[in-house]
Amino acid sequence: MTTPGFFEIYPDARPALPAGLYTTTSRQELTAAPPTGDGTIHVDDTQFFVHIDSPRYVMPPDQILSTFPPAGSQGDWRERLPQIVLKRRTLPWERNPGPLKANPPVGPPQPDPDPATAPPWLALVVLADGEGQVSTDVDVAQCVTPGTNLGDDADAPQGKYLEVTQDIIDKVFPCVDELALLTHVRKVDLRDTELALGDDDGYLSVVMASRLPQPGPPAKAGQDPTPLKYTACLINLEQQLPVLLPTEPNPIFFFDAVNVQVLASAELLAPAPNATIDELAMNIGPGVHVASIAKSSRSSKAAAKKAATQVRTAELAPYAPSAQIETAASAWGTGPVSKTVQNSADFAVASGYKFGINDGLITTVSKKFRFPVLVSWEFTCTGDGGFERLMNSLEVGLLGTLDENQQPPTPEVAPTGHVALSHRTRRGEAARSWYRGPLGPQPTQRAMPVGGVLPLAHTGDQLRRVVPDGREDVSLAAMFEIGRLLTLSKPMLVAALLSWRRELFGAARARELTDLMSAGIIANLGNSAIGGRNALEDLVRNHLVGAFTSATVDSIGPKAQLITASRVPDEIADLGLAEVLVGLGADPKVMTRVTRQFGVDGLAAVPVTVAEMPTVPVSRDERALGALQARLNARVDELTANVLKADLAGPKGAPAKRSRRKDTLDQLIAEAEARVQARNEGRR
Amino acid sequence: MVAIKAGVYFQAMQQANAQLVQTIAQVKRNDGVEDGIPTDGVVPADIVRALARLRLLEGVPFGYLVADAELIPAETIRFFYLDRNCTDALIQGALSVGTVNSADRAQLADLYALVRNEVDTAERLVRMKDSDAPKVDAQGRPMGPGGPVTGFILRSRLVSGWPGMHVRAYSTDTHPDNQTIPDMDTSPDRVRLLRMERLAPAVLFVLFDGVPQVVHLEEPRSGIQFGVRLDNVADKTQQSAVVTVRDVTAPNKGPLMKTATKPVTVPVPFRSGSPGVINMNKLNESLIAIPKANMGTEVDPAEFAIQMLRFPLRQVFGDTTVAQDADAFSSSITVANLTARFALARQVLGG
Repeated sequence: MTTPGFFEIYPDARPALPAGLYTTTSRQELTAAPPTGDGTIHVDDTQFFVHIDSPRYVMPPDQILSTFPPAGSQGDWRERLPQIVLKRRTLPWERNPGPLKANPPVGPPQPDPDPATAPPWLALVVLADGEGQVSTDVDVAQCVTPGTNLGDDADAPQGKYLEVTQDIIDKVFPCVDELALLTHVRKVDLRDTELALGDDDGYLSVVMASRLPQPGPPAKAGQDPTPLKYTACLINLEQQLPVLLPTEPNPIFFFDAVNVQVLASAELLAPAPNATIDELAMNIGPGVHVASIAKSSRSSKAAAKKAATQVRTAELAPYAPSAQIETAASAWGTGPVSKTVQNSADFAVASGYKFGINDGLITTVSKKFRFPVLVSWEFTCTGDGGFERLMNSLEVGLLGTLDENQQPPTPEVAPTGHVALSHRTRRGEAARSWYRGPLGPQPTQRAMPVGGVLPLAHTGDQLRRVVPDGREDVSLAAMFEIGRLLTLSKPMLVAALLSWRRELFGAARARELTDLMSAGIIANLGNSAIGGRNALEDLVRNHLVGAFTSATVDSIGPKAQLITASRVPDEIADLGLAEVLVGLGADPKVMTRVTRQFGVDGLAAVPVTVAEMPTVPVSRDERALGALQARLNARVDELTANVLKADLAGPKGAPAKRSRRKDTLDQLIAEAEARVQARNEGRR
Repeated sequence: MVAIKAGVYFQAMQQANAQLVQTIAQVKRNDGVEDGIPTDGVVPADIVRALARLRLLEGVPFGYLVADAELIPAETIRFFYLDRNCTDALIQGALSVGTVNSADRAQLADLYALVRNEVDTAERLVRMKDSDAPKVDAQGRPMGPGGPVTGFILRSRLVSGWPGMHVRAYSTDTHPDNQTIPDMDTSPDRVRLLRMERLAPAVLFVLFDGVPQVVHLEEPRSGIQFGVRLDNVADKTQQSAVVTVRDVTAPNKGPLMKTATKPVTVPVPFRSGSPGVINMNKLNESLIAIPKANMGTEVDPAEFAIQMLRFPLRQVFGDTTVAQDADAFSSSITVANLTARFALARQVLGG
């Protein structure tokens, strides 16, 4: 039982019956025991036909779980064997690949191997560019070497094939006794998503290749190797096992990792001609081919060689799955990508011509073999260095520290990780300022609230600092500015910030809160509270201020200190309650009696004598005027005596001498007297 | 004229004013996005999300992160601490877009402490769900937002060649380097990633939520691979290779070791005249010939596949001065010394 993270490997998983057409007959024998002797009841046989299907020319894409190296990828695969993982565990053993040895010219044909021990009929071959040719979709009869007959059981009407020379088969294709080692079955736990890759029962079959892909030789000695493109093809070996080498040749324990393109044939690497399909078909212009030369030189080897050079230089079109004519490259070339091109009759004519060339000419030089390709993919091998190699050569350090063997000129870096950069200030001066981004070699202390307040900068200039060596540290200011610019570059974010501002930074949500808290006191306070800026002012002006003024003094705030005491005249401060009441015209005794009996409301019934309004103004009232005048005179005399420091009464009762000249005060007094006398006389 | 119970009303208003800033959060709003960022904070959720991303330096031009490219030459890895004052300055710059006059600035300055706390919480949720964020670290201390953030910049062909590289960090160095670790490791001392991004095809930028003791960089696990190990030869025209041998009955124990550090290997036979085609049968025979490998005498593709397995490489960055399984605590005084000291003290003090 596999657990996640573990997998089991099995050598094979052979199906009970290999693929093919079967006739199943059922026979029943019934015996009865009648009273008279025995008897058998005859029952007719029933036959039914079973067709066990299996891919033969085309692999359905849903049977492929993964490939390694990944299709279309680039990487250093020098130490890895390419492989393909298939969903069905019995796939590589579902067909019998046919006799292991070639049929002898005379005598009975070789028998098929025993299904229980036959080698798999699938093999994965990896070919570099120019070592073989993968065709477009053609009729399945053409997918095998001419002369091989695979039978009528075809799973698809059209398929692709790989065409190679015997040389490539000897050097690159696996040998017959290697085939079994290259295929096995793996079991993984379905819960292990990474290993199971979406399989339905956890059993997978794996077909490996035996070739290590290498990058091409470097363009110049000492440089990196050039990337080299490889095509991995899963081929069908049915009835063609005798073509492969029976056993491995003598091994050598090293290989040439530099000259990896020895097997590439130049003819297959030639670029496609710059010709349209019509020109190829009509054999004009750049699409000229040399079939005529080929046909005439079939007899002599020398002429064939000459024709070969002409073929090499005459720009034939090699065919690879993702060449120009297909409109989109599919990573697994299992089927036609561009159906219109596929079905175009012109195209069929052109391809016929192309393969006609090869048929006509190359058969004299070397025999070519065709194998049906079920699936193929491409990858590129680069010489970057494997993961292990690159990882071991990494330099490790803290950011802001310089490597010792770094070539000058090195940047000016402080031990704190600050870098000195040239800085042109706003006034145009050139300066060198320190800058350290958010990444530094040491931990830093974050600014914390001071006295409950966290400082917030509103412009970048507020964050400029000066360092003890006199230079500026513009790190924080630069970060402020880039944060501001990044935000301004996002209109949605600007809109969100401005609407947050309009809500008074969250005060809108206080609406519901204040409604909750003050619902019993004032209805709709919340609604009027925050409908925006103006509504808040109205609220404050109309409701809150009135509430504050009517509240007690102490609840609004602490009492203001008595800075200046008010000046109350002594006469008023000494007044008692009775005197006030008398002055107002009320009888104190009556007042006290009424209030005791009737309370405050009884005061309204107490009569108060109110003096009549005077009908004559004070300035016409002679008596009042005279009394006021007398008092004024007496007071003025007092004041002048105080000022002059003279006695009012002289020695021995003589009248006070005024030995001075008359000054302004004397003049004012004389004038006032004259005025009063004149008025009095005028009235009489 | 509205009849107002002045005293009661004023008390309520005083309460509301005093608590207005703190209790605004009680009103929930449904924002419709499930990333764990609370929608009922002082700052609206979409602004918090954008500020949290800015905190993780998303969108900040590379010149602001690393002032001089000489600080990261090719094929280097540079570790760093994140300066929270700089990221706070980024956020302050972002917030300054939302203020126009002094009244706005005064209001925002009052709220800034809360805004900073909310962005601290949100920055850990950008990449992980709220439920994933660990509550305590390996020492059992509660982990809150606003803690230290570290990371590294890797500039190498590793990043362009293996874009799916796994990065893992742990806050304690107690596991052996070659321990099997599942893909989604949830051990409590794992330091989570806040951000992992390829800033350029060959530059990887990673931020950790804490200070790790070990960092693992692992080759992407693209299924199970088979292969050989090429020798380091000077003449590439004579390239040889070896396969390390395993015991097929106990394959999980690692390769067979010839000495303490060198594993048992067999040389790989190649086909002559072909670039890199292995002779599988001869290789199988040479593997069978090793008795410790316990392979049967007949050809078994399963046993052969086990020998050819190659596992992804893991590079561990940690403190190389400390031995791998060293105890975190090592005492510097023995018990015998301590007892002698206490006995002496008792003598001297007469107690």
